[in-house]
Amino acid sequence: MTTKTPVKPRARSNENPTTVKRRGRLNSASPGRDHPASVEERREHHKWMLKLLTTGGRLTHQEVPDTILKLLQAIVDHSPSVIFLKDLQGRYLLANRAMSAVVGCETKGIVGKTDYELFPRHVADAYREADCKAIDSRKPIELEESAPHKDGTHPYLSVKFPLLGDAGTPYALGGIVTDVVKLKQIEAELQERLRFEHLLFELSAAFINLPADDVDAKINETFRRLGEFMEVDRCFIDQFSDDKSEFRVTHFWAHESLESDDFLDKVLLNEQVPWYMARMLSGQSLIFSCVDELPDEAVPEKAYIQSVGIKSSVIVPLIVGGDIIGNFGIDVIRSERDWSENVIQGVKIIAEIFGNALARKQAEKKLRAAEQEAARNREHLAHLTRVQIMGEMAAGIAHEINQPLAAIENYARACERRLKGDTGDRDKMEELVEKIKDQAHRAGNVLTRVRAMVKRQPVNMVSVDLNAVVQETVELANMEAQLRNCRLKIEFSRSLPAVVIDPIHIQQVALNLIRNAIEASEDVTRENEKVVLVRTTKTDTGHVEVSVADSGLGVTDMEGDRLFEPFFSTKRSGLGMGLSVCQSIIAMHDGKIWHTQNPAGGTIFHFSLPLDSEEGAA
Amino acid sequence: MVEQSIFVVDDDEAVRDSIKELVESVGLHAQTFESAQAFLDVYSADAAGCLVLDVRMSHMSGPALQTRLKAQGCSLPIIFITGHGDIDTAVEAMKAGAVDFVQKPYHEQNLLDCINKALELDAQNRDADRKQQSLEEHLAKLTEREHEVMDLLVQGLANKAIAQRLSISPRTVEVHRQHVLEKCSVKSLAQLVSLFNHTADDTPLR
Repeated sequence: MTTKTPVKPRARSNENPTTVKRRGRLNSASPGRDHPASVEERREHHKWMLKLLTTGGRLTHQEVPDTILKLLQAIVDHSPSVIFLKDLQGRYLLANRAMSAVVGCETKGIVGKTDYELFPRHVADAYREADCKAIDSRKPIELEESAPHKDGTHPYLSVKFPLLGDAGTPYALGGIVTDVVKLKQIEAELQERLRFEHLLFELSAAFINLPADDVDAKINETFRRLGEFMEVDRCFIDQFSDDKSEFRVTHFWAHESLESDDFLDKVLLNEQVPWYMARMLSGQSLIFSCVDELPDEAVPEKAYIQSVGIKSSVIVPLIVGGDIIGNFGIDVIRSERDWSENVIQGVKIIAEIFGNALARKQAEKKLRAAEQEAARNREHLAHLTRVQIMGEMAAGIAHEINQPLAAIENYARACERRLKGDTGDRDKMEELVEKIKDQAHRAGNVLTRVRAMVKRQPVNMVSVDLNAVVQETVELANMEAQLRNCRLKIEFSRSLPAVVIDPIHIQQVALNLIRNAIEASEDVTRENEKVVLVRTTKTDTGHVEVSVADSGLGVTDMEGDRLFEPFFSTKRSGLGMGLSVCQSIIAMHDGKIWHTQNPAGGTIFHFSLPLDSEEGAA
Repeated sequence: MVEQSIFVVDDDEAVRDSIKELVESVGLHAQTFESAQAFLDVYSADAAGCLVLDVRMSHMSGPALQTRLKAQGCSLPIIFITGHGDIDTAVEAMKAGAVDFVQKPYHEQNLLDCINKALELDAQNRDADRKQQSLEEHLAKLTEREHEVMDLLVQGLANKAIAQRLSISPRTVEVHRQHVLEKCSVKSLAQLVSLFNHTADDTPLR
């Protein structure tokens, strides 16, 4: 207050380049030398300064018209951003309405003041520092600042620029500062939405090719993620019974912090919550922020919700192919929640993902059940034909058991006679007893073999030596071959890798083919002996092949086309199931069965089986 | 005398071995063969004993072997062992000259009885064979006239009647008669007649 005349700010002195004082001296309590004291003086100073500014820093005595000043003020006042001009000391020369809104006083009250009079010291310090940086660098700078508001600190995006004189010397500082609190909010919301969208995308991708067996586990895992992401306390899926008379909780998750009962497998009957059921079965969602939003008739529902402690929920139907199979819902227990449209839409999308996954799981379950039943039927039919084959072979089997029994009887009688006649030395007795044991064992083996064929047992795939399996079969078939005066000849490959098969089923196939071959050979009235050749080979295609060659009359093309059809038979007696069953057994083993003409006359039946992949590669 | 053997032909090793053991337990001798062919390979006319054959064998069946042996003039008695349902074959075999058949399952005494009968028969056959053979040898030594005289003697004609029939003197007949008795190694006419009767009646099967 030492002078009443406006003093030229130092900045206007061109010959005296400014070294700006950072801060400190400038405040109302201890005004600087050049500081105008009264409001009146400040206003004058302001006017003068503006005139100075509008003339580009050159001090002239020419009056700048008030109209231009008013125009300038009007323009800046209508900007939503804060716009100001300060002198090099930090005193406001100009401030707009947005600025006055921030500091809570009129623009006129701002002019002439420094930030130290308008803002807390640490805020003003930050402003001053940025101001000085712009002045010192003589270039506009952009930075993020913040300012205290009634509702907290708002972030600002600031542009600060020095006003330079002709010689490039700064004489004032301008600023355009934009409140970005709303932008930040929008950005945060957008981020949140993006994360949610991302989650939904991830979920739909995860569920799209999920094996049916993993669906339940994945839903439970997803519940946890959803629960934590959406900050809800429970997630659940109810599924309706087929007659829609009740529903069962099939998936359930509750936040760890809640000592919630486990609702999994809990069943509610239609009549217990009729309003809820009616609403869900009509395909409508149920969304409430508080229990009071439920209609008056929903009495048991309200009671139930309150008993569980639920405050807000979003429950949407799971609709698959137009059928409502159940509901997916999220509950909040700890507080009431206003559900945003975004969340509701998300829940609906998730319900769709879950619904599809559950439907696929159900379809796969049904398919699997059907496949299992088909396999059971196939196995049953294979068993029946095995029993039938054994029945047909009864004469041969009986012979094969009678032979050792007859031998046993003879040996035993020989023993007895030697004992009675006292002609038996001990060594002879031991020899005879040993022979009896061998024959008893032989008879037992026949029975074991037959029993294995007749016994009904589930498919049992094991890695075995195919030669051993075929050998066993040849021994079985020999019972019949002998009776029919036919010789079974074998040619086994010595380098046969292991195959993974059900031995009994493959024996059945081989037995069927060998018996057919024996029978076919009988059709030929040739004097020389009848021979059926059984071979095993390893093919170049990573398979092992078994072939059975007869020297019968062969099959005609027309018969050949129908050989593997069920109920087709060229025999006088026979159901016509044998080869058809063989084909289904070989198909079960991923193998092939076919027939070719025997160059030596007759037919060759072949079947091939894939090698045990590991062994095959070795 | 040649030792008799029981020739067991069966394609089941245990079965043929057990029959051998059974036979040996009563002190008889047995040989086993896995096929008809194996037996034919070692068969010779002086084999003595009997055959125990399984009706059903691969390659050559029992009856087929029977036919082959018959063609070779084998006189070994054959016992067939038949399974259930082979009665027709057994009947055929019996018609073709088999001595017996034993149906499985058999009582071992039954089989042994059959074997013993067959061995006895074989012995008789062989005895008759021998007598026939010696008779034939004796007869071969006779002159034509001696033969004529012997035929008439065996028919029971008296010396006088023979002399008349042959237009020779009874004295000459007597000389021939003496020669016949000497050459046939018999002392009386009765013995000569019995020699003929024996060979004629006691060879029922050939």
